[in-house]
Amino acid sequence: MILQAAYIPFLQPMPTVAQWWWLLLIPACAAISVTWKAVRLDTLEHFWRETITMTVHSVLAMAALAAALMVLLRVVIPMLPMP
Amino acid sequence: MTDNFAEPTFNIPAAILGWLLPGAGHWKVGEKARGMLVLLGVGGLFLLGVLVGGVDCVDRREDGMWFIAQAGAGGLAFATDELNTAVLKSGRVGELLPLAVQSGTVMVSSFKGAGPANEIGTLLCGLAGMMNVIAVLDVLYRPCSGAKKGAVE
Repeated sequence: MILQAAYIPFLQPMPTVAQWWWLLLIPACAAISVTWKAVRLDTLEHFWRETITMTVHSVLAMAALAAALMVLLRVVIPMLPMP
Repeated sequence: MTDNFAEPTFNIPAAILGWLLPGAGHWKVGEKARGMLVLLGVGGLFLLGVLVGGVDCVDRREDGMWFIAQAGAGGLAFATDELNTAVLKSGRVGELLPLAVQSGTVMVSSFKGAGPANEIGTLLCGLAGMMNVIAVLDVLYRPCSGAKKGAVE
């Protein structure tokens, strides 16, 4: 029997990610927004405001897409006539 | 007839530096704050990927197609791949276990990830690499900060 050792960060895959993987959307969108705005803005005067706005827009857009897909799969497709 | 379009200048050393270490290219052209933010964004995303998936999520031999995207993060990706080879694949950490495959048996690390954590980590590292490519392309055409002030006005 192989005993699972305690989790070692950066060496082993993080346990229990399968339960909350969708929450990783938020830091991923935040990091992408930081990089994108760092490159695209002419001045960094309103950097954080712009970054937070882009992060919120991205997360909301992905959530809306997920909701639309759920409606399609659970409502629209079951209503289609079966061949 | 005169041409008002200025010839684009390619800042190749800064682009190479920016590829090797995210944000270093912007630092070189005098945009230190921008460079730090690029490092925060790309480095943070890459570290998050490795934290979630482990160093095994960067593997240029087994996940070659993914590594094309991850290699955009330059030094970070190659260093993580080397770490994966030196620490996990050599069996220095964890143990090497036999795994039956079609062509026989191969030895794999007990730390090797095969679930969603590994997939998400691979994806996040790939995203970091592609974001750094955008930063490298930006710094390739970016004049030094002193020259830019005149160009904007």
